[in-house]
Parts: sequence; structure tokens; C-alpha cells
Amino acid sequence: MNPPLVTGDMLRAAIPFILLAAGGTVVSLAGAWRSKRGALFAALFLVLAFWKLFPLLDLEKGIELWDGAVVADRMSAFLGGMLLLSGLFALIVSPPVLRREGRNRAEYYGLILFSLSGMVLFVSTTNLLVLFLALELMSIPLYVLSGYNRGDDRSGEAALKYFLLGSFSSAILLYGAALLFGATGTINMAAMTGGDPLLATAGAFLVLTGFLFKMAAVPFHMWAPDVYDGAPTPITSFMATSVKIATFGALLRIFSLAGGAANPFAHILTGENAAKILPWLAVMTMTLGNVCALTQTNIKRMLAYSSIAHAGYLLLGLIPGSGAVDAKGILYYLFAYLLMTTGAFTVVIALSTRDKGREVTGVERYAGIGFRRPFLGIAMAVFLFSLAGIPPTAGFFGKYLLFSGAVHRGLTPLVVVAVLNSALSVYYYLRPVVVFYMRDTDTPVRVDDALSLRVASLAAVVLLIWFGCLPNIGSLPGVPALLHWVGSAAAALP
Amino acid sequence: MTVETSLLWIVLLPLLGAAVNGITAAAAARWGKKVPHGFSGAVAVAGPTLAFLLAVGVFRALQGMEEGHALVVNELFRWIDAGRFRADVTLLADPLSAVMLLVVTGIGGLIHYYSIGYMSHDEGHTRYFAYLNLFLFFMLMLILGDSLLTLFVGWEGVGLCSYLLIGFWFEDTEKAQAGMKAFVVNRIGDFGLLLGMLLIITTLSAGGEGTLVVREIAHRLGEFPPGVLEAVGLLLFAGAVGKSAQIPLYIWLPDAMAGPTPVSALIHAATMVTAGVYMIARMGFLYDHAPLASGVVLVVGAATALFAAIIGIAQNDIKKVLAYSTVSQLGYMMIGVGVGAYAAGIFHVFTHAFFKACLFLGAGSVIHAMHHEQDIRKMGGLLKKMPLTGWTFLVATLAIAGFPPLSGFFSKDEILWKAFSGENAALPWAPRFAWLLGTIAALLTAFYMFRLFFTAFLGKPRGKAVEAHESSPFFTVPLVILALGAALTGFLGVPSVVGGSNRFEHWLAPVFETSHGGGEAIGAAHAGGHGVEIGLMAGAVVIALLGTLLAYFLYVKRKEVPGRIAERHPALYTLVRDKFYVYEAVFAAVIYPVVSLSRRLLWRIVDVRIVDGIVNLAGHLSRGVSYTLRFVQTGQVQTYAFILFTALGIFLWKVL
Amino acid sequence: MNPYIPLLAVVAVAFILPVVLLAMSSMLGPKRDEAAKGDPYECGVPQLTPPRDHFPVKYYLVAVLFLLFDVEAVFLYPWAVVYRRLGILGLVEMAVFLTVLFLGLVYVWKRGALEWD
Repeated sequence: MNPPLVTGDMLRAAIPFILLAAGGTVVSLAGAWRSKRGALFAALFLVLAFWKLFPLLDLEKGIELWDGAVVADRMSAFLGGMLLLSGLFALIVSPPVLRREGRNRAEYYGLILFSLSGMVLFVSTTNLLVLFLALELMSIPLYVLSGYNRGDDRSGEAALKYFLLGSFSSAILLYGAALLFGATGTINMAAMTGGDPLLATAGAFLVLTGFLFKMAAVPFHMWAPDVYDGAPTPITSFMATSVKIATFGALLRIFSLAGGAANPFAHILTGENAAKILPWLAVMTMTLGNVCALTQTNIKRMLAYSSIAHAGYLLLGLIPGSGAVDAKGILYYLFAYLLMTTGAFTVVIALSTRDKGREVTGVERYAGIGFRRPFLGIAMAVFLFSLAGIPPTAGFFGKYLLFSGAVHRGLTPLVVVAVLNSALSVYYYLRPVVVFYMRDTDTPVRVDDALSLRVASLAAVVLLIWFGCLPNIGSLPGVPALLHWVGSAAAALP
Repeated sequence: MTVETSLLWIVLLPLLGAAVNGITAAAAARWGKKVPHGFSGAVAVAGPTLAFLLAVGVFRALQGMEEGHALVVNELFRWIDAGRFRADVTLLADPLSAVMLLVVTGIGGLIHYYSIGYMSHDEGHTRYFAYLNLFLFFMLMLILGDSLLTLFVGWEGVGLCSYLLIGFWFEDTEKAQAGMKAFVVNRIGDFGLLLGMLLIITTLSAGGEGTLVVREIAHRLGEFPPGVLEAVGLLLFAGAVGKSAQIPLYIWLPDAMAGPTPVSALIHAATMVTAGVYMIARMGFLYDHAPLASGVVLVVGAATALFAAIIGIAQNDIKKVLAYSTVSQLGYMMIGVGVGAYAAGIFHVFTHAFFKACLFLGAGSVIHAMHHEQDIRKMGGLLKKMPLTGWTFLVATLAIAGFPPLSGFFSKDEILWKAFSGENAALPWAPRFAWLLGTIAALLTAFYMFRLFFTAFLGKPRGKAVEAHESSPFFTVPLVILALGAALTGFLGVPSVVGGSNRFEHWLAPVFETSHGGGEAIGAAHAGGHGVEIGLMAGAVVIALLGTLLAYFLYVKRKEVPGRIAERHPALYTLVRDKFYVYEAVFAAVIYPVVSLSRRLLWRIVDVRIVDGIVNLAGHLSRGVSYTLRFVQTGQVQTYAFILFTALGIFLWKVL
Repeated sequence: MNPYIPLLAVVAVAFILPVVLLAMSSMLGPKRDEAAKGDPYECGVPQLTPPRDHFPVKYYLVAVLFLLFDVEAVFLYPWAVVYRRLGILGLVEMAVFLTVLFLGLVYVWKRGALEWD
């Protein structure tokens, strides 16, 4: 007798995926009738999915779903949790912004759920076809969302650019997938061996390029500043965090498969010429991101470049050096990055104003805001300190883990470059703080006091410090607990 | 309450007082109210008084314990747990710390009480009392900590408080700068102490767990190579040189007179300067095996004793005279601990606390009565105007000059005898040399102290002294108590040679017995016999008399002589009056070169040209890069796509 | 011989041919500039309105919707061919697929995308 097609375990593992996709459908559909409470509706699905995802953190062994196309394991659960957290933040901070525009429609939230379902799928698969499907599922809603602000022509421009270049990158990834299939005769990356080395390497590299584009690694980053700048700020925040989590998560899964020397991705990681590419990419990405951020006066654009720089630090963790890919470091850093970037963007949302339909986010307008709005000032300072990697924030601890891991893998020169870059970044991260606290003007500034914005930034501040320096207190998880989850998620990879 | 908890409360009470007064002061400043003087004073005095009572309890408890096992330990919490290094905060009272405890809380308490009168007209009294209590708290941490780390916390804490209190009247730039000077000079020494501690950790880490707990260091002394032992000893001594005002870092102490006079008394008598001596006595087991370091302590101490005494002769400011006398007496204490006679050194700390506090508080009383006149040449005849102040001052002067049977006689004599009969393996000449310098210094001490007394208290009233009158009981009660102490405490340490039992040394013996267990590199050789000891004692009395008579002759009988001497040897006089130009020498040798180096080279060239240059270059460079990149970041999607594919092409070509 | 060499040859020709043709025309062709040459070509008739005009977005909408549902409908053909082999599972899967498609249609309808005016 055949084994049962569907088991209870499989169903339980599949539910979060299904909930997200179904949630997107339901929210969008219901929005056609009642478009008011979209955020709440979507949040309901999201929390439900989160709740169903949580038990998966303790899975002994990965569960294969849909004929092995998708794997639910501790890794995908942890990454999924982070993605959902990022989505939750987006749901919380969006309504005040959309209300200002008068376009608080349910579709917006439905699209976020669709995108999230793509991302969760993206980090849970080793199947090339599903990978591509998930990539498109996550990207297409984002194209739409970045153009959501129809009153601002920069938003439309951002959407168009993102769409065009994103299509190119998808095509590149697809082409790479075709080459991989051609070389190895399978679309399951876990089972790929042998094949023509030239074709396999080329295919693997093209697939990698698709990822590099999504994470905005230099020189595939050109779209990022324009898109991040033009998109509605909650979407920028969502994109900057969740897409990075998704791409790095998926890459972790794929690279961890490259243990066997015959796997095409092993060529990328350890091949004689190819192995030099990743270090160069990391150096270029962090340096260019930081150097460009240095001269930005628009805080949104500055954060866009900073997110490029952080992609560079994260790339460091993907370089195996004399060891293996540093999954633990990357996961912890992604968590810290999620909180600090979302937090910083939340403050930007609270402070941004409109001028003739355009969003204005220049730093200089907020002189002295730290004294007039103490909470926002302190919160922003915490986020920026964390982004700069100053203790006792999670940003520092994440950098410490990544960099020390890299040193142990014999990548000291790269770490030196990364540390120099961090030093450089302090300059531009502290500049808003300086403006907030050390200058003053009499011009009144309008600040959005929406409760949801305060809640979001408070949550980010607390979590950032909590998971940056506090031990487990009683049954409350602290840094050790997070490190434990990160470690067990990393251990789920082969 | 158990002894252990009372140990904790001894430390906490002053801290509590500091917190209450500090918060009150801040709140008062915030709402523009005035704090009633009685309130802050009562709060400030309550802490030390209760702490003193508890300290007496601890002392009694220690007395009740078996000899050699007299210890009260209170483990509070684990502070640092980092790899192979662990540090707990533990309070420990043994005979040595008990003595210091009584001095700090007792004399400190009296000074607090005195301050109520002295600061009654000052606006900032609440802040003042908060600092004063904090000072006491840190000093108690320093004494009661069982490891060098907690000692260091207290050490730095008293440094901070001395800065705050010396610069208490910070509206006056000179006074604020004196505070800074004290702080900075102390930092130089602290640096040595810190290095010494790190050296201990690294050395011990090689053979197990790094630790700074004093008892464990003593236990594992064998793990130190001899050279390292010497290095540790010298580095720790560097800290003591700063804190206990030895050559060449004593320069901060005379300037510390800028603070309110009770603060000077606190710094000089009960806290701060004795910390260095205490620390060396605490680490005595280490110095026993480090003859070179001990020899250096000895020589520096002796030189300081003489040198400061010489400077003291030509000072006209009443507080400056006392300040240099403190430096000189600290030199004696260093001789004591340097020759391995730790009990003698601590005994001098103990007696000195009484007579120096008495002298300073007496000086404060005088200054208060004279409306802030400090020049002794403008005083005179004060003994009649202020009898209580004058007579107590006389008792303390007799004590410091070393007249038997006052306390200073016994403690100073003990030190000089130990120096005379002591040995040092590394510097064999050092003990006798120290004895010689110490004896000359004793002569000078009697001379300058009586010069001060005769000029200020005898003769005809001059200037404001005419209208001076006795101060309030806030002043006189502590003076009387301290004078009694200065007179009588010597009997605790009467040497056996004159029929005493030296109870003080017996009390401390268990703490230092490890000192004489191991190496015999240094230590008092009990050679020479009783005859020599009695002879020396008699000599000391003669010397004290000689100094006094000389002062009497010069400043009471033939008052024109000193002026004539000064006229005939102007160079010598100015040299002494201007403190041998040590500060100027330090200024020329260290500060000026450093400042001009900073200004000419480091600032104008290194900072402006090179550092700023690099920064500017980086700025220009990144701006240039940004400009170039802006050229690329056109906003044209075609350009982006072009770059994307070009990059892809290049990478593919490289990869394949 | 490597089986990919013919492919490579085709790619090379595909690249070279347009480049050569473009280069030749730009080198050989006469370059005389006239006003009429700059005008957009409109069946030989002089231009009446600016060529960059707005088109109603409805055209695109309808076109896209048609494309969407048309392409999805194409999936029914292969399914129908192997219907028996896929069995009950195939039926369920197709039902789910069609339900989602139907929901999409409901949404589009409700949002008014199908109404011309």
C-alpha cells in the first residue's frame, strides 16, 4: 500500500503558507465590498499564520510538502517568523500614511499578504520552478505597492523602474535555472550533481545574480535608491527588510546544499575564479552603500543606501572562507536589521510631511525635534546607533557575530574593510541625531502622532535593546534564547 | 543585626545620605527652593554616626574572635563573570580594615559635624553634604573591598569626590582648576595602579583563574616570577604616589586647600591620602618579596618627608603649612610600610588622623573667626582670643612634633626605629638613609609647626585677630575630642622597651604575619637591642625640643632674625618659599613640553594638517566618488539596465 | 565536436548581422536633414495632432484581463487530455484552481473593471 498522500503533520506545516495566500485572496476580495478594515483583517491572518508557524520552530526534522517542492523546517519557520514580523510592522504603520492620502484600501493589505506568502515560499524551497514562482509572487505585489502612491509621480516612476529591472533580473534567474536544468537534468537543487561544469557554473551564477539584484548588491543595486525613495515609506520599510530576509534566507538554504563538490553552487562558492566574486561583491556593496549614504540629505535615501551597505555586511556571512556559510550570524543580523530599519523608517513616517503631494523627508527640517518630541528623538537615536553598530543594541551584537565569525573563517582582510566601513557609517548615522538634538529652529514641525506609529517604534526600540543585551529573565526570552533559536534554525540546514 | 549585615550598612548609610542630599539638592535647584540647613546637616551626620556605631560593633566582634581568624565577610554579588576572570563584590573586615573603619567613620563623622557649623552660610550646603557623604562611601568601599578591583572602585571614587569638593566653589576659576589638578595628577598614579592590577591578572591567568582578590593573590604568590613581583610592586606604588602625595606627584595636595577647610581635613586625615599607605600595607605580603619595590617606597617616602618639611618652613598660609606637613607625615608612613613595618605605618596613619584633623579643624576655626584670612603673619595672640581652639591646636602641634607621651611621639618613633633597625636586600643603604632623613625631618617638623603656633597664637593680636572670638560648639566639640585623641591614642602603641605592650601591633599582627612568614628579603631585624632603641627615643625627644626652641628663639624672642636670614640668603629663601620650584620644574619638564608639543606639533601639524587632512581628504574623496556615482545614478532606467547587464557580463567572464 | 557549437554560431550571427547592417546603412546612406524627415509618419498625410496622446486606460485593462483569463483557460486543455490518469486528485486540484480564478473574476467584476462607462 502506498504511504498516505497527506499526513496530519504535513497539513499542520502547510497551514501557514495556505493562510497567507488565502488571507491575501480574502482580504482583497472582501475589499471589493468593504475596504475599510483591511489592515485589521490582514493582521488577523498574519497573526494566525504566525501562531501556526511557531510550533514549527521546534520541528525535529523538516517536513516535505507538495512532493518535496517545499520544505517546512526550523529554518523556514524562523525566517518565516521574521518575515511575518516585518509584514506586521508594515500593517501597523501603513494606515496613518494611507489615511493621509485618502487611499486606505484593503487591496494594499491583500498585496502585502500575497507578497509575504511568496517570500515564505521563497525561503522554503530548493525547487527551481517553485523558487521562480515564489520570486514572482513576492515581487509583483511589490511592484504594484511601490507605485501605490499615485498622487506622487516619483512613486509611479519607482514602480516602473522596479518592474522593468525586476523583470530583467527574473529573466536572468530564469535563464540560469534553464541552464542548471540543462546541465544536470533536474530542477531540484538538492539533487543536482555533475553536469557540464561550464554550463552549471554559468547557470548557478545567473541564478545568484537574480538574488543579488533583489538584495540590492552592488553593482546590481541601481534601482534601489530610486525605488526606496519613491515608494510609500511603509512599503520602503517593508521592502528593505523583508526582501533582504527572503533573499538571504533562500541563499542560505541553497548555499548550504553546496556541500557536495559536484553541486553547481559549490562552483560559485569554492571555484578558483568564482570564489573571488563574492568577496568583491561584499566589499563593493558595503563600501559603495556607505560612501553614497554619506552625502545624502534626504533621510529616506540615506536609509536606502544604508540598506545597501548592510547587504554588504550580510554578504560577508555567505563567504565560506575556510569554513562554512555563517547561517547563525546572518540570521541574527537579519533579525537586528529588521528591527532597526523598520524602526528608523517608522520614525521617518511620523516625521514626514507632504508638500504638493510629494513626501518630504529632508533631515534638516527636523532641527531640535529631539527636545520637542523626546520619544521620537530617543527612538531614532536608538535605531541609528544600532544601525551604526554601537552597543548595547542588537545591531552591535549582530555585527560582532558576523565579523568574528568571518575572522574565524580566515577572512580578516574583509573584516578590516567591513570595520572601516562601519566607522564611516557612524558619520552619517549620527548626523540626524546631531540635527535632532544640537540644532534648533523656531519653525513648527508637523509630526504624526498616530498611536500605531508610537506602538511600532516603541516595540522596535524595546526589542532592539532587549535582544541586544538582556539575558533571559525568568520565562522571558533574551539574547541567549534568540541565539538558541538562531542556532537551532541554522542546524536544520544540511 | 548580624555583623555581616552591619558591614553592609556601614557602606550603605553614607551612600544613602549622599542620595538623599543629592536628590534634595537637585530637586531644590529644579524648583528654586532652599533646603533648610538643619535638614541636610542632620542627614549628612546621621550616616557616618550610625556607621561609626556599627563599626564599633564590628570591631568588638573582631575582638571576640579567635586570634588569627578574626574576619567578617559579606559576599554581596557577582560583578563580572568573563571567561577565566571572575570578580565578586565582597565586603571584608579584618583587624586592619577595622582600624581604618574606625578612623574613617569616627573622624569622618566629626568632620561632618564640624561642617554643619563651617558651611552654615554657604548656599550650596546640601550639595556639599551630598559630596561629603559620597566621599565617605567610596573611602569605605576602598577599605572594605576584599579585592583590588573593589579597592580600585573606591580609589577612583575618592578621586572623583576630591575633585568635586576641592573645586566646590567652582565659580572661582582658580579653585575649579585646583580640583582639576588634583584629579589629573591622581589619574597619573591611577594609571600605574591599573597597570599593576592588569599585570596581576595576566600573571595569575597563566596558572589558572585570573583574580584580584587580595587573599587569593597572597595565597598564589608563588606563581609570580620575582621580576614580575617587583614590577607589580612598583606599579602599585605609582598609584600610591599619586593618592598619598609622594614626590613627585604631591603637587596636587597643597592646591587641594582650595576646597572648604573641613574638606581638607577629610582629605588629609580620614580619607584619600591614607589610601595609598593602606593599599601598600594591604599588599604587604607582596612587598615583602619585592625588596626593590620596597626600597623605592622607602627612599621616596624618606625624601618626601624631608623635602616637604623644608618647604613647610617658608609657608605663610596656615593651610599650606599644614598641607606640607601632611605630605611630610605621609612620607613617614611610607618609610614605615617601605621597611616592612606595616603595623607601624598604619599606627602612624591612625595617630596622624587625630592630630591632623585637629590641626585642620583648628585652622578652619581660626579662618572662620578671621573672616577668611589665612596668612599667619596677619594673625597673632589668638590663644587668648580663642582659648579652646588655641589649646587644642597646641596639643595637636605637640603631638605632630613628637613630644612624649603624645600620640605622634610613639608612632613616629616606632617608624624611625624600624627604619634604623631594618634591612633591605636590594638597597642595603636605604633603611638607614631613610632613618637619617626622617630624623632631620623630625627636627624641621617641630620647627615649622611651632613657628606656625607661635606666630599665629602668641604675641600681640594683629589685623583681624583683634576682633576674633571663640567659635561655636560645632567647631569646638570636635576639636576637643580630636585633641584628646591626639594626646591619648599613642598609648595604644607603647613599645615594649619602655614597658608598654604595643597593643596596636598585636592587634594587626595576624594580618601581617604572612609578611614575615616567607622571604626575609626585607623586614625588621631585631638587632641593636634595647639600649639602642632607648637611645634613639631619647634622641628623638631632644630633636623635638631642639626644633621647638629654635622656633621659640626665632619667632618669639628675636623676631628680626628670620627676616635677616632671608635677606642675607635671598636665593635660599626664595627657593624654599617657592617650594624648590618643583611645580615649576614639573611644569618645565613635563607640562610645558607636552603643551607645546600638543600645540605646535600635535595640533598645528598632526591634527590640523594630517588628521584633519585625512578627514578632509576622505570627505573630498567620498564627495568626489558620490559625484561620479551621481553621474551614473542618472535616474534613467536604460542606464540602470545597461549597467546591470555590463556587470553581469564582466562577472560571467570572470567566473567562467 | 561540442554539440553547442552550432548554437553559438547562431548567436554570433544574430549579433553580427544587425550590427553590420546598421553600420553599413549609417556609413553608406546619404545624410541630408529636412524638416519633413523629422515628422512622425502618419500614412503620408500631414500630422494633425501631437502623436503623444493619452489613450483611455480601459483598453489596457480589458486587454490585460482578457489575456489573464484566456491564458488560465488554456490550462484546462492539457488537464482535459490527461483527466483520467490524474484521477480524483487532479479533479480536486483543478477545482481549487478554477475557484481561485473565479474569485478573481468576482473581484474584477465587483471593483467595476468590466464596466465600460
